[in-house]
This record gives sequence, structure tokens and C-alpha cells, in this order.
Amino acid sequence: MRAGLLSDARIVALLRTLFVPVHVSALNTPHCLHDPRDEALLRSFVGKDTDRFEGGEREAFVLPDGTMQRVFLSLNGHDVGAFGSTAHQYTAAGRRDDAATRLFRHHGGVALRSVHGEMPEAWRTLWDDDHPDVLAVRHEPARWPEPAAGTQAFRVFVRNSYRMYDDLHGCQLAALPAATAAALGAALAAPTGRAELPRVAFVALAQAMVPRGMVDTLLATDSITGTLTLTATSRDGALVHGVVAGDYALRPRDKAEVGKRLNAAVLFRSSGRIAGHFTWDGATQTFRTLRGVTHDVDFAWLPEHGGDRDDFTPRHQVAFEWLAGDPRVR
Amino acid sequence: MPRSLLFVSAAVVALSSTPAQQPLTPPLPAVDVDAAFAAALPPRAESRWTLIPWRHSLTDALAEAKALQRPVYLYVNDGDVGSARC
Repeated sequence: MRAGLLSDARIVALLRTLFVPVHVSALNTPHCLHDPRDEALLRSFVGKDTDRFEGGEREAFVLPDGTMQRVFLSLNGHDVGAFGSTAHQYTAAGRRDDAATRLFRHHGGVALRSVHGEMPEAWRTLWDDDHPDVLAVRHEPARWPEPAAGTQAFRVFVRNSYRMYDDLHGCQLAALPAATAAALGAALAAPTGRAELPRVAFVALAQAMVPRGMVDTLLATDSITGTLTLTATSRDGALVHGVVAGDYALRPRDKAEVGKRLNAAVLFRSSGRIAGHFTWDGATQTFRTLRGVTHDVDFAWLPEHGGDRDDFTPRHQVAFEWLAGDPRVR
Repeated sequence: MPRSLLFVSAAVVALSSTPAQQPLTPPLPAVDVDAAFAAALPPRAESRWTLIPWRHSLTDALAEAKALQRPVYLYVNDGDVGSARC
């Protein structure tokens, strides 16, 4: 994700206090919309004074009466239809620069004045780095996705470079059927103490491991190879401790696999090994911990025209952990 | 002792002192899993967007905005924005 201004603690505090923040997919990927009603609604906003909302980052303030204000692109540093970027979206440092907040500050102020007639006091005070609400955001840990109550999943973190982008990242849950963990545990409890992740679960894990930078990458199943094995190394009553080991290879062959927006789709190859550790609790039939990381990774982007000499060194890191949904959360 | 026997004795001693054979497969590299895990997570300064109370329905958000008399901040991007596959 190129979060930029959205990871500015002041903007987080402002969005919590003065706005209703909404994050939706664009009209070229309507299958990614969470609310099917939103497709028609977003199309109703399409116009010469707004945008087509068909790819790329777009931001806008919408007044309570449904009026959409000027559409802008913080990471590019200009309103839609304008040119001349004043923001530097390709590097993490550039995305955290004050230039990335300039348009939010301008258009947010216009929207608030339209609603309230005058600027709310919070709009002025929350731009102060030392405001208690801003400090609280700065110290709050990130909220990564959690499995729903009664379900289990791998939570997969990815961090990679993408050609002219130095550092992109993503986090995704790869759901696991309850029977998968139970079967792994049964195999670990057996004298051999060895369990292999079923192919279906491995593919789900691998789909979440894809490098970020393109639109909704979904690899063909036969573009994914590898295995993941859990091996017990010691037992302590009902607990089984052990190591995770494996390998993976992601080798898409068709641009349609790597991105839904073909003009931003680049083939890649990534392969390497996986290492980790786990503790299985036979009494609760769950993993107390299971963590894995990739290492010895061979990764490259494969652009059609050979890439650009200013591209950042290819890098692809993955870490994953097994999680069970909190049964207390409804 | 004749020189030939000394040579053989020395050779026998030398052979018995040779290093053990290398294992058939190389040992697995040591990986600090927890350190590598931490390194794969984005820094906190790049993760605060997860603290925003995002709504994922524009339809419902507009109704909420009308009730609260607050502007909607709309962020649109293609793909699955929740997993950053966009």
C-alpha cells in the first residue's frame, strides 16, 4: 500500500473526529466492492467535473447532501485533470512528506466550511503534532485483519519493491478450514511427528504471498509450486514444538494473472525457502503459535521492455502466522 | 624400523586422522525467524492508515454523513483495497 498521507497521525485523528472515511474499489474492479449497491452509486458520480473512477488512486470529499467536491490525487500532488506533480509517491520518505497532505488540507477545509459555515476548532488544533489525540494515534499499534470468530487463517505480510517504488506492503488473511489444522495436529501427534500442509491450503497461502504493486493479482494454480512441512522436535505434555520448513515458487506466465489493469501489469518470478517454528496444543486442538518467513529469495520483475535503470533493487519478503478468530468478538 | 615401514605407519596414522566425511545434504541455514518476521512488517509510520475507522460501503457512509452532518472522505483505488492488492 502507498499509504502516504493516510499514515499521518494528524490526518488519522482528523478523519476520526470530523469526517466519515470510506475506502472503496474503483469501477474497473467492481467485483472488489464490498457493497454491490456502490457500483451504481459511484457511477452516478462520474462526470466531467469529477472523474471516471476507473483505476488508480482518487480522493474526494462528499458533502452530507451528496455533492461530490473536486477529485484529487494526494500522492501525485494535483487535482484530477491537472498536471505537474508536487508530491513524490515513489518512495516511502516522499509519501510521508508534508507535500502529500497539502491537497487533503485544502479540500478538507473547503468541505468543512461548506458544511459548518466556519472551520471547526478541531480542524485547527488537530494539525498540531503535540495534540493528545494525535499523540495517541502515534502510539497506537496497527490494526491488521483478524479472522472472524470461529474461523482460522494464515495472516500474511508482504513487503516488496516494485520497480520505481521502493517499499510497498500488504497484509491479507488466507482462510484455513478447521479440518486442516486438526489434520495437521493429528499428524504431529503421531509417532512420525510430521505434517505437510495440503496443496489447497498451500495455494491459498501462496496467493496471499504475491508481491504488491499491481491490481488484484490472482495467480493460476499451476503458476504456484512448493510445499510446507511441520516437523515435531520436542513434546511437553499435550504441547508439540517444532519447526516449519518448505519452499515456494511463484511463476505467472500470463499478464492477466498478475493484474486486472493490464497497463500496470508486470510479470515476475519469486522463489525461495520457508522457515519457521510452531507449538501445537493437543488439549485445545489449536496452534498456540505458528510463524513462517521466506528466505534465500530469488525475485525479479520481468517487464516487457527490460525495465528502467532507476528501478529499485528487487526485494520480496513474506512473513505469515496462524491465527484463530477471537470467539468473544461478534 | 625400516624407512618403508615408517612411511606406511605414518600413512596409516594420517588416514585415520582425516576429517569425517561431509554430510550428503548441506545443513539448513540458521534463520532468525522472529527477526525476519518483524522485518517483513511495514514500519509503524507506514501503518497508521489501518487505524482509520474505514467504512467499506459508500451507500451506508453517505447516510451516516447526512445523519451526523459530516463530510465523507472518499478514497477510491482499484483492486482489493483491504489486502493492498491494488
